Amino acid sequence: MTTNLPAIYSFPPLYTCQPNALIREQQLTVWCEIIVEFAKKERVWCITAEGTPAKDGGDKQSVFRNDVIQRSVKSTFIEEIWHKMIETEKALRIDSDSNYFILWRSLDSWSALILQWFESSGKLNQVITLYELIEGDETLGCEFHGMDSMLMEKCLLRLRERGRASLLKDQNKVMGVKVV
Amino acid sequence: MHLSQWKYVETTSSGQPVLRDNEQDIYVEQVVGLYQGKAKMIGKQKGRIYLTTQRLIYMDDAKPKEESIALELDDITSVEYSSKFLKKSAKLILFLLKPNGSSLREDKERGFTVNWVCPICMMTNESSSDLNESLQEMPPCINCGIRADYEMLKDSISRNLSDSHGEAPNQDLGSIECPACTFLNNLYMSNCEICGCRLPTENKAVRTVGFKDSRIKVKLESSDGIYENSKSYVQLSFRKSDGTMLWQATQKVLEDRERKRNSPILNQGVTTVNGVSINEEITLTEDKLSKVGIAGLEKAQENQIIKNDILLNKALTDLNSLMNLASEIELLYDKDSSAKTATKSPFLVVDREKFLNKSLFIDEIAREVYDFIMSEFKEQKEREGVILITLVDVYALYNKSMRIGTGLVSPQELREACEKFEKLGLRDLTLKKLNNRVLCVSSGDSFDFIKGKILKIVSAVPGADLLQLTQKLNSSSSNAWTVGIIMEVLQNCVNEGNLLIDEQISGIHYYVNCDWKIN
Repeated sequence: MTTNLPAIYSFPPLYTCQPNALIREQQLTVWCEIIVEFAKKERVWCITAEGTPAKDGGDKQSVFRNDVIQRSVKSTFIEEIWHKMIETEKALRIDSDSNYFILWRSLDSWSALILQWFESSGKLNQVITLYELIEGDETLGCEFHGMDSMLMEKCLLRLRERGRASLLKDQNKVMGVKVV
Repeated sequence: MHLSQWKYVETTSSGQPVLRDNEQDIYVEQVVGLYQGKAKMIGKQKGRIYLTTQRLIYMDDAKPKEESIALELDDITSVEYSSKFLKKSAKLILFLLKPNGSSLREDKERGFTVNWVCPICMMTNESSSDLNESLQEMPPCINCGIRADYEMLKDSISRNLSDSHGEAPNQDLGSIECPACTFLNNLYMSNCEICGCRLPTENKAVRTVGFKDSRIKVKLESSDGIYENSKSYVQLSFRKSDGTMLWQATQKVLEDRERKRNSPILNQGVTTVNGVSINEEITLTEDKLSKVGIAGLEKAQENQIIKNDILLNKALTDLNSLMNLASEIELLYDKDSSAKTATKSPFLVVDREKFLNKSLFIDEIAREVYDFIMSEFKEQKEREGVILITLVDVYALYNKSMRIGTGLVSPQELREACEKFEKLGLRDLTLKKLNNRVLCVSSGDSFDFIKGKILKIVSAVPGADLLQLTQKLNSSSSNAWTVGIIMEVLQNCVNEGNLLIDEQISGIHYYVNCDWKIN
């Protein structure tokens, strides 16, 4: 895991909350970058508050732990990091549980990307199911392939706000989308 | 022209006199001015008078190194006190002993030979009178008979102390035997090098020949009114106090010395020497013609009483001498044990009771502390160039050395004393506050110095903890930098952002901050 992350990930003081406020600010920024980098490389959409990917079971390593140099971040400091993540809109808190969506692109950027796909693949004015969009063969090369469905919903909601999409709901759950 | 009784006095860097062995200070008087005869002595108008068991020392407040001066108590014949009257401040008049022997000028002629080389025939001449520019006619050369010019032979003049009368070299001339310990001292010593005892003054005339201590600077405002044959005297003028304490103390010391001098040094309190009684034997010759009757009985009774009396007296004297001996042995033992601990020069004993008010006492403590720190951390200062100690350490070290006469100095007093450093002109040390919380005594920019040093170590050894840092810093010496100081410096570095911390169960490790720049 550490091989994919910047060198500063192996710097022991990174794991201790620095007393100097100015330095701590930069430290938090570094942490945000690390988490985003981690999520992007591992294609993890959702991370628990403890730093482990929310899906794929519990065997995955927490981003806040570095076994190579035997350091881990204290829980109070983890909270501070999440706070910073949300503040800079790098993460989105999921209300139902205490997990976070990691946004290595902003919601607007995602929705623009999705819209672009609809336009380029000639799917305008057609009903496309959410499943097709996420897991379908046609989106295989796209960056949003495999996206968490809840996150996809939020992106599509953005499109609806712009008046470009209408959502089809079944039992209060978004099942399909029609982009005009 | 200054009186020959003025003596140079060695001073410490903080403006305290350096005492001799066996010398103890008795009383300190503040704000005193000096007069020689009737004239004010310029530059010696505000200082402290230290009364010790051997000297009266004047320490100037402004320039202790240059203006300080001392009088030997042995040179003082009597003291007189004149009280304050209108604008005239209270004065203590000290009458001085005349310098021994005949006047200096005669001594010069007797004790000197002057060698000079004739510039014409290169003959080395010897003349008994001193040669100088003011001389009208130079003596003629004994070889060629020509009077040379002073300018031409001034380089070749050398003055010898040898006796010009060609007497056999006297052993006493080169050295003086101490009356107490028999050590042969140098001619110019006034006190014994070994025991500090005052050396006899018979040879003083010889000793003072041509020797004028250039370290003594005396400038008078006007003529001192002391003539060749009149009694010379010195006045101490008390600007603040009435000086009666010093007067009484001086008088007492002089009396004590007088008494001591008159009492025999050897065989004190002895009743018998080699079995022979020193005291005159009271022998009662029995009246052969013994009286009869009541008169006879009375006589016998009287005799009996006298005999008993003598017997009792003898017994008591023996007991007394035994007690004397015991106390002397006790004294000797005390001295011996204390001598082992105090290997350096004898310390001044600062006693609260010697000071009229608290601020004067604090002043004295400040000087003491300054001196103490300077000597205690001399090694570190020489090697590193700086001193930095927390006040707590100073407090502990200082009180451990136990130099205050009555009890220990309180933390409050120590702090006040350290705050006075600058006011007293002790500029090498200042009181600093580290991180707005820890008071330190430091010299120069010691803080930046140690900070730089620590940063260097941390960049060489990333992840060093306090223990490692302390060991590295003190690798060349033992405990020059205390943990307290290092912790404060680290704290400062972390607060300023020079260092990053890595907190572990094992302790805090320090790293240099290279990635996250502030400002």
